[in-house]
Amino acid sequence: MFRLLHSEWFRLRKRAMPWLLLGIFLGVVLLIYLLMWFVLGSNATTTTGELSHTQLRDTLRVGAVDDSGLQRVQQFGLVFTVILVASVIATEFSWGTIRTILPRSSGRVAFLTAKLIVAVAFAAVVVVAGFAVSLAASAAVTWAESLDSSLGNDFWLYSLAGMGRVLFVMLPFVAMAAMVSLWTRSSAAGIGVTLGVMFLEPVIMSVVSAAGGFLAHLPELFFMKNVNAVLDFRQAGGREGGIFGESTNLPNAWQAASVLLAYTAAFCGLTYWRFLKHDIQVA
Amino acid sequence: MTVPLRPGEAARIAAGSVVAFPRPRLSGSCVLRTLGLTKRFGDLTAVDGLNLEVQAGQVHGFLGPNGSGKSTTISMILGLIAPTAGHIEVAGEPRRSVGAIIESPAFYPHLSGRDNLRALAIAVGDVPLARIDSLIEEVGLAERSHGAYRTYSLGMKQRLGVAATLLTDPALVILDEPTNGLDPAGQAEIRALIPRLAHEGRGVLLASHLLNEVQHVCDEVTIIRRGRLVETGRVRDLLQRGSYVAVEVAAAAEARSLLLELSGVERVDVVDGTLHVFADAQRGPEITRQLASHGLYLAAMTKHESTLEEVFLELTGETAGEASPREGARVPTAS
Repeated sequence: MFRLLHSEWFRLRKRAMPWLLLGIFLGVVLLIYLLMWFVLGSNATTTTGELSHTQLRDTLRVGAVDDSGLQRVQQFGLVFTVILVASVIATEFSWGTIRTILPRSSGRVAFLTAKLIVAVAFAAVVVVAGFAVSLAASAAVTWAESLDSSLGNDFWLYSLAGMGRVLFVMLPFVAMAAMVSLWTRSSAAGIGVTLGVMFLEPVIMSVVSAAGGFLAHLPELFFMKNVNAVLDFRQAGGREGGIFGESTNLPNAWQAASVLLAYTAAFCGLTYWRFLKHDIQVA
Repeated sequence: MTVPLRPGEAARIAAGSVVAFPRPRLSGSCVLRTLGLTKRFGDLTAVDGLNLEVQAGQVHGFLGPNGSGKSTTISMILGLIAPTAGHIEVAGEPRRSVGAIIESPAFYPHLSGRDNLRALAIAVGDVPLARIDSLIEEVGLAERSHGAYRTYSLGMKQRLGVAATLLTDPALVILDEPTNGLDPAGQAEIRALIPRLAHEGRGVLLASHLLNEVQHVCDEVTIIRRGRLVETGRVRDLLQRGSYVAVEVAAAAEARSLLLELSGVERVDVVDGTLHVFADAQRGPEITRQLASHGLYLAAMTKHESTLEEVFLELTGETAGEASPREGARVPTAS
């Protein structure tokens, strides 16, 4: 198992794709901060979308990185992680390398587990690196705009917990991307389906909610509400507002975590079942 | 050679399992054994009760027309496809003791040849870096070992495949069309390498469409058709069975009757007025004596040695399209 993990990591770090994805992701995070800084400096009175000038100042200050900063890390980091996970799984089939490496492996369970662990490790790197870049960018803006530079109580503890929550809410999507790309043996399908769910779910959720009756409760089983509930989870004696600053109409955080965990387990179960039960055709 | 079942094995055959037994390195020891190996894809039976045995120190040819089940069998041996029924035994731990190239070599395109071998070595474990270097040297890839695999020619890819196959010094080497894409010099190198692998104590299972290649490098051969064993045995025995003595003589029908009286004559065919006497070529003097004693004198007599290609085509009915295997050819079943 450890050998397969080592081999997987060796192959991944020798590949340009993860570095490119990570680079682009960090660039996007940086760009968002630069844009918000530009907006902040260009007009001090009007609003930008839903963010008022005051909110924008609050969002950009270094002490808010564990809230709004991590929100951006979750939103964009998830997209790049899904792309990588789908590619790591499906390219074994499209390149035919599965027939080279699998007979040398200590079993299919170990092979797939190594892949999934590396996928989660990449997601963790994305979250930590995204947080670090957000922190650096926010610190620069805070210094340049003379914003409130206090970190608040237990900033690092909240940041750590926030990163853990962000990583946790990414897991169902990582598992879904792995499942779809393995079943279809296509990275495009894995990416398309997972990102499709991510972006279409809010639309479906609003339609279903509007229907009323028991359908109005259905979104509690959807990803978005549960993701928001977990991200909005307040530590005991914690600060005002979670990452999304939205605590109304959200399910209980533990219930939400259970739903997301159930999704992750179901997707992983189906992935393992498929991989263990199905033949790997040579040509 | 049909592999006999040992007591109690029939019950295990239905399990569809792969087991490993202690790795032998002595010539004559078995490194691969399949018993009643069967694979069904829905209604299609791709492999049907195949019994196969490969000995250490021997090159075993594995032949069959396209779609006959060769790759499916090899994939089952490698654990890529689960058998529907049957049993596979390989010498030693399968991931270390079996090296294989199936169809064309497949490696990570972004990695160099050396890094591809390293990734495999890490996955298997306990493969020293020096082994990778020596294999790269051995297959003639030293100059391009740091280049990305995607930039390799087909021949270089095939060489890397051979190196990967030998990475763990396996007891069993499975080569599926190993000379595909190689230039004549490369083909000659691989042809020289195959017997060397066997001489070093390995068992080699060679699947190839190049029957001339198989005839020259293989000690034994197994021929399958539509997933079923058609024939298996020593190459020289198979070739001898297809060999005949061509006899040109007047009164062919009378001569045929006389020759069929001789012991050791399996059959006599009349082809365009020429008698094809299927018997040991050493029986030429007896044939001459038999005919001459009845007043029939030879116009010509030549020895015809069959090729593996002729034997293969006859056994698989390839020339006859959908024809059945030759009558009398053994088609053993799982039980």
